[in-house]
Amino acid sequence: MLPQTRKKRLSKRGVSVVIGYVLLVSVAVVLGGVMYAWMKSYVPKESLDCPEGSALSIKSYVYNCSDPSKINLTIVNNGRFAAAGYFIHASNSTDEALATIDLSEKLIPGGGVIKYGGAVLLGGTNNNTFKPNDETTNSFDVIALTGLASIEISAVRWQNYENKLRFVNCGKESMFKETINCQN
Amino acid sequence: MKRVLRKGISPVIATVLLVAIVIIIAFIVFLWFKAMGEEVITKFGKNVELSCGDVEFLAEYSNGELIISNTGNVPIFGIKVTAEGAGSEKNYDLKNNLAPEWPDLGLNPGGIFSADIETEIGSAEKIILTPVLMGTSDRGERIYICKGDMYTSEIII
Repeated sequence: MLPQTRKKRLSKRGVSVVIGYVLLVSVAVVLGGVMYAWMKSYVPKESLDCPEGSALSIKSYVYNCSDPSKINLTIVNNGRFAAAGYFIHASNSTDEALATIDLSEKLIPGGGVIKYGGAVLLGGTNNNTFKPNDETTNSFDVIALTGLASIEISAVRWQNYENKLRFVNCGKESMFKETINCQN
Repeated sequence: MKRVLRKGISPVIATVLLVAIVIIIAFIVFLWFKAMGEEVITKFGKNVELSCGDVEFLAEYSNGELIISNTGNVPIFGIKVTAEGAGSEKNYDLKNNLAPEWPDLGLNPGGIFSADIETEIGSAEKIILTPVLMGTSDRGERIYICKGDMYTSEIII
Protein backbone atom coordinates (compact mmCIF):
# COMPACT_ATOMS: atom_id res chain seq x y z
CA MET A 1 0.00 0.00 0.00
CA LEU A 2 2.80 2.40 0.77
CA PRO A 3 4.21 2.61 -2.79
CA GLN A 4 0.73 3.37 -4.22
CA THR A 5 0.20 6.21 -1.72
CA ARG A 6 3.57 7.67 -2.62
CA LYS A 7 2.79 7.47 -6.34
CA LYS A 8 -0.42 9.42 -5.86
CA ARG A 9 1.45 12.19 -4.01
CA LEU A 10 4.05 12.45 -6.76
CA SER A 11 1.48 12.77 -9.56
CA LYS A 12 -0.26 15.61 -7.76
CA ARG A 13 2.89 17.72 -7.95
CA GLY A 14 2.66 18.06 -11.76
CA VAL A 15 5.47 19.58 -13.92
CA SER A 16 8.26 21.17 -11.93
CA VAL A 17 8.49 24.97 -11.80
CA VAL A 18 11.79 25.01 -13.69
CA ILE A 19 10.45 22.88 -16.56
CA GLY A 20 7.35 25.09 -16.63
CA TYR A 21 9.49 28.20 -17.10
CA VAL A 22 11.65 26.51 -19.74
CA LEU A 23 8.54 25.49 -21.69
CA LEU A 24 7.06 28.99 -21.40
CA VAL A 25 10.22 30.72 -22.57
CA SER A 26 10.70 28.20 -25.42
CA VAL A 27 7.15 28.74 -26.67
CA ALA A 28 7.61 32.52 -26.48
CA VAL A 29 10.92 32.38 -28.39
CA VAL A 30 9.47 30.13 -31.11
CA LEU A 31 6.40 32.37 -31.51
CA GLY A 32 8.66 35.45 -31.62
CA GLY A 33 10.77 33.86 -34.37
CA VAL A 34 7.70 32.94 -36.40
CA MET A 35 6.27 36.46 -36.07
CA TYR A 36 9.61 38.04 -37.00
CA ALA A 37 9.94 35.87 -40.12
CA TRP A 38 6.41 36.82 -41.14
CA MET A 39 6.62 40.55 -40.41
CA LYS A 40 10.22 41.41 -41.33
CA SER A 41 9.33 42.26 -44.92
CA TYR A 42 6.96 44.95 -43.64
CA VAL A 43 9.75 46.90 -41.94
CA PRO A 44 10.05 50.11 -44.00
CA LYS A 45 13.41 50.77 -45.61
CA GLU A 46 14.87 53.94 -46.95
CA SER A 47 13.51 54.73 -50.42
CA LEU A 48 15.82 54.97 -53.38
CA ASP A 49 15.79 58.71 -54.07
CA CYS A 50 18.17 61.44 -55.10
CA PRO A 51 19.09 63.99 -52.44
CA GLU A 52 16.82 67.01 -52.48
CA GLY A 53 18.33 69.68 -54.70
CA SER A 54 19.55 67.48 -57.53
CA ALA A 55 18.74 69.37 -60.72
CA LEU A 56 19.91 69.93 -64.27
CA SER A 57 18.66 72.43 -66.79
CA ILE A 58 19.10 73.30 -70.46
CA LYS A 59 21.09 76.53 -70.55
CA SER A 60 20.90 76.98 -74.30
CA TYR A 61 20.36 75.11 -77.53
CA VAL A 62 21.21 75.39 -81.22
CA TYR A 63 18.54 74.14 -83.61
CA ASN A 64 18.14 75.35 -87.17
CA CYS A 65 14.84 74.45 -88.77
CA SER A 66 16.32 74.96 -92.24
CA ASP A 67 18.74 72.13 -91.44
CA PRO A 68 16.96 70.16 -88.70
CA SER A 69 19.39 67.25 -88.66
CA LYS A 70 21.03 68.05 -85.35
CA ILE A 71 20.36 69.82 -82.09
CA ASN A 72 23.08 70.92 -79.69
CA LEU A 73 22.09 71.25 -76.05
CA THR A 74 24.15 72.94 -73.38
CA ILE A 75 23.27 71.30 -70.08
CA VAL A 76 24.16 72.89 -66.76
CA ASN A 77 24.08 71.40 -63.27
CA ASN A 78 22.16 74.03 -61.33
CA GLY A 79 21.57 71.75 -58.34
CA ARG A 80 23.52 71.22 -55.15
CA PHE A 81 24.78 67.70 -55.91
CA ALA A 82 26.86 66.07 -58.61
CA ALA A 83 24.95 64.10 -61.24
CA ALA A 84 25.84 61.18 -63.47
CA GLY A 85 23.77 62.25 -66.45
CA TYR A 86 20.18 62.66 -67.53
CA PHE A 87 17.14 61.12 -69.13
CA ILE A 88 16.07 63.09 -72.17
CA HIS A 89 12.77 62.98 -74.05
CA ALA A 90 11.47 65.13 -76.86
CA SER A 91 8.06 65.98 -78.23
CA ASN A 92 7.14 67.04 -81.73
CA SER A 93 3.65 68.07 -80.75
CA THR A 94 2.57 71.08 -78.76
CA ASP A 95 -0.61 69.23 -77.71
CA GLU A 96 1.23 66.65 -75.60
CA ALA A 97 2.15 67.58 -72.07
CA LEU A 98 4.58 64.64 -71.86
CA ALA A 99 7.49 64.23 -74.23
CA THR A 100 7.41 60.72 -75.68
CA ILE A 101 10.50 60.41 -77.90
CA ASP A 102 13.58 58.99 -76.21
CA LEU A 103 16.40 61.24 -77.39
CA SER A 104 19.15 59.19 -75.72
CA GLU A 105 18.88 56.86 -78.71
CA LYS A 106 19.78 59.83 -80.93
CA LEU A 107 22.88 60.85 -78.98
CA ILE A 108 25.92 61.59 -81.09
CA PRO A 109 28.66 60.00 -78.94
CA GLY A 110 31.84 61.82 -78.10
CA GLY A 111 33.84 63.28 -75.24
CA GLY A 112 33.17 60.38 -72.88
CA VAL A 113 29.41 60.74 -73.17
CA ILE A 114 27.61 57.41 -73.45
CA LYS A 115 24.13 55.90 -73.54
CA TYR A 116 23.18 53.75 -70.57
CA GLY A 117 19.80 52.35 -69.53
CA GLY A 118 17.87 54.90 -71.57
CA ALA A 119 19.93 57.75 -70.15
CA VAL A 120 22.86 59.87 -71.26
CA LEU A 121 25.83 59.42 -68.92
CA LEU A 122 28.46 62.14 -68.73
CA GLY A 123 31.19 60.34 -66.82
CA GLY A 124 31.14 56.57 -67.05
CA THR A 125 29.05 53.96 -65.38
CA ASN A 126 29.89 54.46 -61.71
CA ASN A 127 30.65 58.11 -61.06
CA ASN A 128 28.73 61.31 -60.45
CA THR A 129 31.21 63.48 -62.32
CA PHE A 130 28.92 66.31 -63.41
CA LYS A 131 29.40 68.67 -60.49
CA PRO A 132 27.31 71.73 -59.54
CA ASN A 133 27.74 74.62 -62.01
CA ASP A 134 29.45 72.30 -64.55
CA GLU A 135 28.35 72.70 -68.16
CA THR A 136 28.46 70.33 -71.10
CA THR A 137 27.26 70.46 -74.69
CA ASN A 138 25.79 67.31 -76.22
CA SER A 139 24.56 66.76 -79.75
CA PHE A 140 21.61 64.69 -80.92
CA ASP A 141 20.70 63.47 -84.37
CA VAL A 142 17.11 64.58 -84.85
CA ILE A 143 16.85 64.30 -88.62
CA ALA A 144 13.99 61.79 -88.33
CA LEU A 145 11.97 64.06 -86.06
CA THR A 146 9.84 66.66 -87.69
CA GLY A 147 8.81 69.79 -85.88
CA LEU A 148 10.70 69.38 -82.61
CA ALA A 149 8.51 71.21 -80.08
CA SER A 150 9.98 70.61 -76.63
CA ILE A 151 12.65 68.70 -74.73
CA GLU A 152 12.49 67.38 -71.16
CA ILE A 153 15.46 66.29 -69.09
CA SER A 154 15.68 64.81 -65.59
CA ALA A 155 18.84 64.05 -63.63
CA VAL A 156 20.22 60.60 -62.80
CA ARG A 157 22.78 59.70 -60.16
CA TRP A 158 24.80 56.74 -58.90
CA GLN A 159 24.07 56.09 -55.24
CA ASN A 160 25.00 53.50 -52.68
CA TYR A 161 21.94 51.62 -51.53
CA GLU A 162 22.34 48.68 -49.18
CA ASN A 163 26.02 48.35 -50.10
CA LYS A 164 25.28 48.30 -53.82
CA LEU A 165 25.84 51.02 -56.38
CA ARG A 166 22.43 51.78 -57.85
CA PHE A 167 21.38 53.90 -60.81
CA VAL A 168 18.83 56.40 -59.51
CA ASN A 169 16.28 58.44 -61.41
CA CYS A 170 15.86 61.82 -59.73
CA GLY A 171 12.32 61.97 -61.16
CA LYS A 172 9.74 64.70 -61.31
CA GLU A 173 11.52 66.94 -58.81
CA SER A 174 14.48 67.35 -61.14
CA MET A 175 12.54 67.54 -64.40
CA PHE A 176 13.26 70.50 -66.68
CA LYS A 177 11.32 71.32 -69.84
CA GLU A 178 12.49 73.58 -72.66
CA THR A 179 10.35 74.74 -75.57
CA ILE A 180 12.24 74.51 -78.83
CA ASN A 181 11.95 77.28 -81.43
CA CYS A 182 13.68 77.68 -84.75
CA GLN A 183 16.75 79.89 -84.60
CA ASN A 184 16.98 80.97 -88.22
CA MET B 1 -25.53 -1.52 -18.53
CA LYS B 2 -25.19 1.30 -16.02
CA ARG B 3 -21.89 -0.08 -14.84
CA VAL B 4 -20.49 0.06 -18.39
CA LEU B 5 -21.54 3.71 -18.83
CA ARG B 6 -19.95 4.74 -15.56
CA LYS B 7 -16.59 3.43 -16.72
CA GLY B 8 -16.34 5.87 -19.69
CA ILE B 9 -13.87 5.36 -22.54
CA SER B 10 -10.74 3.46 -21.80
CA PRO B 11 -7.51 5.39 -21.05
CA VAL B 12 -5.92 3.95 -24.18
CA ILE B 13 -8.67 5.28 -26.47
CA ALA B 14 -8.63 8.63 -24.67
CA THR B 15 -4.88 8.92 -25.18
CA VAL B 16 -5.15 7.96 -28.84
CA LEU B 17 -7.93 10.54 -29.35
CA LEU B 18 -5.92 13.21 -27.58
CA VAL B 19 -2.81 12.54 -29.64
CA ALA B 20 -4.85 12.45 -32.86
CA ILE B 21 -6.51 15.79 -32.07
CA VAL B 22 -3.16 17.39 -31.24
CA ILE B 23 -1.64 16.15 -34.51
CA ILE B 24 -4.60 17.43 -36.54
CA ILE B 25 -4.52 20.85 -34.86
CA ALA B 26 -0.75 21.07 -35.31
CA PHE B 27 -1.17 20.22 -39.02
CA ILE B 28 -3.85 22.90 -39.46
CA VAL B 29 -1.68 25.53 -37.73
CA PHE B 30 1.29 24.46 -39.88
CA LEU B 31 -0.74 24.86 -43.09
CA TRP B 32 -2.01 28.25 -41.93
CA PHE B 33 1.47 29.60 -41.23
CA LYS B 34 2.81 28.07 -44.44
CA ALA B 35 0.08 29.78 -46.45
CA MET B 36 0.90 33.11 -44.79
CA GLY B 37 4.58 32.68 -45.55
CA GLU B 38 3.97 31.98 -49.22
CA GLU B 39 1.91 35.11 -49.67
CA VAL B 40 4.82 37.40 -48.81
CA ILE B 41 6.04 38.98 -52.05
CA THR B 42 9.10 41.18 -51.79
CA LYS B 43 10.75 43.69 -54.07
CA PHE B 44 14.12 45.30 -53.31
CA GLY B 45 14.17 43.42 -50.01
CA LYS B 46 10.92 44.80 -48.67
CA ASN B 47 7.28 43.84 -48.96
CA VAL B 48 5.91 44.67 -52.39
CA GLU B 49 3.09 46.62 -50.75
CA LEU B 50 5.70 49.08 -49.51
CA SER B 51 7.28 49.25 -52.98
CA CYS B 52 3.89 50.29 -54.37
CA GLY B 53 4.29 53.48 -52.34
CA ASP B 54 7.57 54.19 -54.15
CA VAL B 55 6.04 53.93 -57.64
CA GLU B 56 5.93 57.28 -59.44
CA PHE B 57 4.55 57.76 -62.91
CA LEU B 58 2.93 60.43 -65.05
CA ALA B 59 0.10 59.60 -67.43
CA GLU B 60 -1.69 61.49 -70.14
CA TYR B 61 -4.41 60.67 -72.65
CA SER B 62 -4.82 62.85 -75.71
CA ASN B 63 -6.20 62.19 -79.18
CA GLY B 64 -6.65 58.51 -78.35
CA GLU B 65 -3.04 58.10 -77.29
CA LEU B 66 -2.13 56.97 -73.79
CA ILE B 67 1.29 58.14 -72.59
CA ILE B 68 2.92 56.78 -69.43
CA SER B 69 6.23 58.02 -68.07
CA ASN B 70 7.99 56.18 -65.23
CA THR B 71 9.45 59.01 -63.15
CA GLY B 72 10.33 56.89 -60.13
CA ASN B 73 12.88 54.20 -59.36
CA VAL B 74 10.63 51.14 -59.37
CA PRO B 75 10.16 49.30 -62.68
CA ILE B 76 6.46 49.15 -63.58
CA PHE B 77 5.84 45.62 -64.81
CA GLY B 78 2.34 46.28 -66.10
CA ILE B 79 -0.68 48.54 -65.91
CA LYS B 80 -4.29 47.62 -65.24
CA VAL B 81 -6.61 49.96 -67.10
CA THR B 82 -10.15 50.56 -65.88
CA ALA B 83 -12.30 52.46 -68.36
CA GLU B 84 -15.42 53.99 -66.86
CA GLY B 85 -18.23 55.15 -69.13
CA ALA B 86 -21.92 55.93 -68.71
CA GLY B 87 -22.96 53.21 -66.27
CA SER B 88 -20.30 50.80 -67.42
CA GLU B 89 -16.86 49.76 -66.27
CA LYS B 90 -14.38 47.65 -68.20
CA ASN B 91 -11.07 46.30 -66.98
CA TYR B 92 -8.10 45.68 -69.23
CA ASP B 93 -4.53 44.58 -68.91
CA LEU B 94 -2.55 47.17 -70.88
CA LYS B 95 -0.14 44.69 -72.49
CA ASN B 96 -2.52 41.80 -73.09
CA ASN B 97 -5.63 43.72 -74.14
CA LEU B 98 -4.67 47.17 -75.35
CA ALA B 99 -1.02 47.63 -76.23
CA PRO B 100 1.04 44.49 -77.00
CA GLU B 101 4.07 46.72 -77.59
CA TRP B 102 4.34 47.39 -73.83
CA PRO B 103 7.87 46.21 -72.84
CA ASP B 104 8.01 42.53 -71.82
CA LEU B 105 10.02 43.32 -68.71
CA GLY B 106 8.00 46.40 -67.86
CA LEU B 107 8.68 50.12 -68.02
CA ASN B 108 12.04 50.87 -66.46
CA PRO B 109 12.80 54.02 -64.45
CA GLY B 110 13.06 56.96 -66.81
CA GLY B 111 11.21 55.07 -69.53
CA ILE B 112 8.27 56.41 -71.45
CA PHE B 113 5.55 54.54 -73.34
CA SER B 114 2.80 55.62 -75.69
CA ALA B 115 0.11 53.69 -77.52
CA ASP B 116 -3.09 54.37 -79.37
CA ILE B 117 -5.91 52.78 -77.37
CA GLU B 118 -8.86 54.78 -78.66
CA THR B 119 -10.50 51.83 -80.44
CA GLU B 120 -10.67 49.70 -77.31
CA ILE B 121 -11.44 52.46 -74.83
CA GLY B 122 -14.24 53.85 -77.00
CA SER B 123 -16.53 56.28 -75.27
CA ALA B 124 -15.07 55.99 -71.78
CA GLU B 125 -15.23 59.15 -69.70
CA LYS B 126 -12.56 58.25 -67.22
CA ILE B 127 -9.50 55.99 -67.23
CA ILE B 128 -7.98 54.64 -64.03
CA LEU B 129 -4.42 53.29 -64.27
CA THR B 130 -3.21 50.87 -61.61
CA PRO B 131 0.47 49.87 -61.55
CA VAL B 132 1.43 46.19 -61.44
CA LEU B 133 4.79 45.21 -59.96
CA MET B 134 6.90 42.09 -60.30
CA GLY B 135 8.20 40.75 -57.01
CA THR B 136 9.67 37.54 -55.68
CA SER B 137 8.30 35.02 -53.25
CA ASP B 138 9.23 31.50 -52.15
CA ARG B 139 7.49 30.23 -55.28
CA GLY B 140 9.51 32.46 -57.65
CA GLU B 141 8.47 35.60 -59.46
CA ARG B 142 4.99 36.86 -58.72
CA ILE B 143 3.05 39.85 -59.97
CA TYR B 144 1.32 42.18 -57.54
CA ILE B 145 -1.37 44.74 -58.34
CA CYS B 146 -0.96 47.91 -56.30
CA LYS B 147 -4.51 48.15 -55.01
CA GLY B 148 -5.61 51.37 -53.41
CA ASP B 149 -6.49 54.88 -54.54
CA MET B 150 -3.13 56.26 -53.44
CA TYR B 151 -1.30 54.21 -56.06
CA THR B 152 -3.62 54.77 -59.04
CA SER B 153 -3.77 57.59 -61.57
CA GLU B 154 -7.09 58.91 -62.87
CA ILE B 155 -7.46 60.58 -66.24
CA ILE B 156 -10.68 62.39 -67.10
CA ILE B 157 -11.23 62.22 -70.85
